[in-house]
Amino acid sequence: MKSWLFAASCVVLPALWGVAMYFAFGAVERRRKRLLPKDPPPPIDYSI
Amino acid sequence: MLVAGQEVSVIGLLALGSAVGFVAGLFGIGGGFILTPLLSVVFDIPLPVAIGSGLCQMVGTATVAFLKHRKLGQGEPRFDWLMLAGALLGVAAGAKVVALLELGGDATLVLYVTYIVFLLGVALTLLRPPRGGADALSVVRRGPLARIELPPYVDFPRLPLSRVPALVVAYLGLALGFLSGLLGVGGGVALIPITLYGFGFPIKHAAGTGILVLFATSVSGTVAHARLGHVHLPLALTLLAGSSISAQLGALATHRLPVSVLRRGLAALILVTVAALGWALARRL
Repeated sequence: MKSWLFAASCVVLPALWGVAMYFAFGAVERRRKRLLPKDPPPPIDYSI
Repeated sequence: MLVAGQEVSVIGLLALGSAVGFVAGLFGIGGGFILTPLLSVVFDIPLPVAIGSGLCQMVGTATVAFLKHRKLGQGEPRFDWLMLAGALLGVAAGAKVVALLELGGDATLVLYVTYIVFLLGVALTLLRPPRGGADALSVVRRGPLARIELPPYVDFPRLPLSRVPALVVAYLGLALGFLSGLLGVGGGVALIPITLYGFGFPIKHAAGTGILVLFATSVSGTVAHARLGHVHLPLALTLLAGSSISAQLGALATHRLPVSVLRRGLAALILVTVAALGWALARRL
């Protein structure tokens, strides 16, 4: 493989992986936030 | 996987990538300063190949950091732009020095000693308690580097910090770029203490500054080392696959630990890496 082509692939492939991970984990984080209860029930008062 | 004539376990590489990624996520750093020496010490990969491949995998982690950083908007972009040209020159010079050392036949010895000195400096800075307590780091102070009288001066309105000598920042970029090309580190582990203690940035902005330079140096360092034949692409992608997932887990765990514990933990980890390097160096002598 030509050296400039190899050098370009050494930059492009990890960068593409990085972009994919950014969007994948972004989607996971958004989903996690969406599933959080909007109005959590009040803590149980055990005092007597 | 065959890397520079050495048979290397893919599972071992994935495990190393995952461990370094977790630590990187936990401490909010790139992790290159641990990954590169461990590739050489644990897997016996020639150091120039470990440096080039470490920088190549850093392109992936730096891309994620850059995209996240754009969203958060922390840091001082003027500082990054001032460092950029020097950093790019420094990376090319560092990669050239690695190639010259390789030709001379003593690359491993010189680079191991340089790593040990660099890492010890970082560990000692981390172990020193901050003056005025941890709370003092959350506000702008005028650090010793910002007080140097050397025109021209530049203002950093986001911090805010005014009348900072521009040449000091530019030469800092050159030094960090050189370290990046020479040792395969992103430079964040050195830059954060310098911006925090040297210039007096608040901790929030110290962590966000330098991401653009990290991204640019990892890209130009990868190109420079790839052209010298120091990058093993499958090795870099395997490490990246391991580190990118565990880095998210590390970032989640970081909120559960106090800052002082994190700081001492990172210093301990660096000292363990120094000990491993010292042991490997003693074996070679």
